Amino acid sequence: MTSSLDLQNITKVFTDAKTGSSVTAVTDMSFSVAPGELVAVVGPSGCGKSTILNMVSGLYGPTEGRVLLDGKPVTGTRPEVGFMLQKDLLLPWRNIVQNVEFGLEEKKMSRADRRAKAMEELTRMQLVDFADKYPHHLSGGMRQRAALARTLAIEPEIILLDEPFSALDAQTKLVLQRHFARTIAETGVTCVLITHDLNEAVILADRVVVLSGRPGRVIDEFEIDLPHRTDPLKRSLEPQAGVYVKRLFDALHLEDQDAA
Amino acid sequence: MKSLQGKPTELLAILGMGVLMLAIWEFLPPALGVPKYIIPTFSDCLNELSRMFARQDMLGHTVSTLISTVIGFILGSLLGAACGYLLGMSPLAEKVLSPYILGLQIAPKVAFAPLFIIWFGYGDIPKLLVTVLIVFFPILVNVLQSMKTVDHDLVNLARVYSMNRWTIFRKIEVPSSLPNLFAGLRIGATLAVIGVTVGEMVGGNTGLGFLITYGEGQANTAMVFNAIIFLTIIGIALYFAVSGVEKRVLHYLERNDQH
Ligand SMILES: Nc1ncnc2c1ncn2[C@@H]1O[C@H](COP(=O)(O)OP(=O)(O)OP(=O)(O)O)[C@@H](O)[C@H]1O
Ligand SMILES: [Mg+2]
Repeated sequence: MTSSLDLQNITKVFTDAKTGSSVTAVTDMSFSVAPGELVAVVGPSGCGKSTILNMVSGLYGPTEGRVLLDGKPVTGTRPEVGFMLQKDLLLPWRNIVQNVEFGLEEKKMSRADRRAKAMEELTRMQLVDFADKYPHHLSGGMRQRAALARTLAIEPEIILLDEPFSALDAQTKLVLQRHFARTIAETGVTCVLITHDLNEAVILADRVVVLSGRPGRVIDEFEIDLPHRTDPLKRSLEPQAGVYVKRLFDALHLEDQDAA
Repeated sequence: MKSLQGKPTELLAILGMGVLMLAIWEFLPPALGVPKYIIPTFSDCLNELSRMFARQDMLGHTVSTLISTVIGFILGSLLGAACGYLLGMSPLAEKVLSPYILGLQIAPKVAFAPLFIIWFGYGDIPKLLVTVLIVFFPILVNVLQSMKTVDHDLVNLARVYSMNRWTIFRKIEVPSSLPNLFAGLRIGATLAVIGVTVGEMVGGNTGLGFLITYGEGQANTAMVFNAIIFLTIIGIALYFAVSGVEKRVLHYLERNDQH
């Protein structure tokens, strides 16, 4: 099962409890994600990208508009949603396999099943040898792989990713992106990927949504029609890939910011 | 702490330093003509110590102080941690109570000892109360601080996994707070000895604190010295017991003390 996502005319205003001043993070934003689709969201810093993910995951609601998952309004957090940030959010007091089990602990399953499921995900991420190591023993790339294993272990219907690869060095990033592309193709899960890396958006996504500066609105939206969905490295070598990156570059008016 | 497992030369230097200081203590005061009742020498103290074990029930007093220290420390820690977690879970209560907590934290707790004796008489309760009170605050403050600085993203992760408030407390907040809790416990361990000592000095007829006031009355300086040394040993033992437990519990933390 994979989910569809629908954002309808979302506005989110944050009000500071102390000063009473308010910030409009996103305004009248609409876009949707089909089941099994991977949509990348790009936009300038502070335009409300993380805010959107928090609303989809149910951590808080929009000020106006509706968030629909499979046609039903999101009213709170739900067990079918996977969540991954730039920080790996591994619990330092748990070893790797216990970390992968973390999300499964709210599900009705036996301890043995939980362990089996966690080991299965670690196998897929090639981390079995590190199952009983603690997070600080692992490199940044391995930790993020462990976080991905934890996210996938709960068999989510939608995965929300907030710049998951941005803290990694270039090589680790490439390897992990390929890992990720293959895994989500296998599971067919719906994904929303927030990224600052325009190239990453093009090589991983089926479609890209471009947001304006704060308050964020959708200013462009287009399909990425490239082969090799499971191999981002190959995809990046497609001549057409550069054209898409250029289009994103232009949409974000990055040229105008040169002088600044 | 690493020096204890350090290179043998380091260990030798530390031992040599100890021997040197004992030698200075033994020979310098007599050489300068300082009388015994001002500074008794090392051997005077040893002689007095064996007399105290034989005639003064030194063992009984030491054990009494040790037990009071440990009980006071455990009670104070439990109370401090419990209040820290409760206040940490309820920001409103924390806001309302924090000025009072700050006030009480600054108030010199040992000054309450005479008051407790007026209220509860000469017995074990006053010294335990002083100890509990003095241990309570550093642990409360440390736990509260850690509850306020728990990584918000970890809490959100748990919420996305549909964990309830209590589960988040158990699985995220308590483990996150452990390094702070242990920092508080280590401070508490050293303070517990002070609480018991003051309690025993002010009232009662048992314990090393009592021996200090008793020795003072007799102008028996060596007895005072010995009592202080034994109190210090109790403090060190408690401190190392706590940090030993800490090492086992927090084994997953990266250690920086290797270099
Ligand atoms: N909980 C909050 N309370 C108040 N203001 C908030 C809150 N969360 C976000 N904001 C504000 O909303 C705006 C959008 O924030 P958000 O984190 O969604 O941006 P972003 O697009 O993810 O930025 P970045 O690319 O830097 O991660 C920012 O101005 C931020 O200060
Ligand atoms: Mg963000």
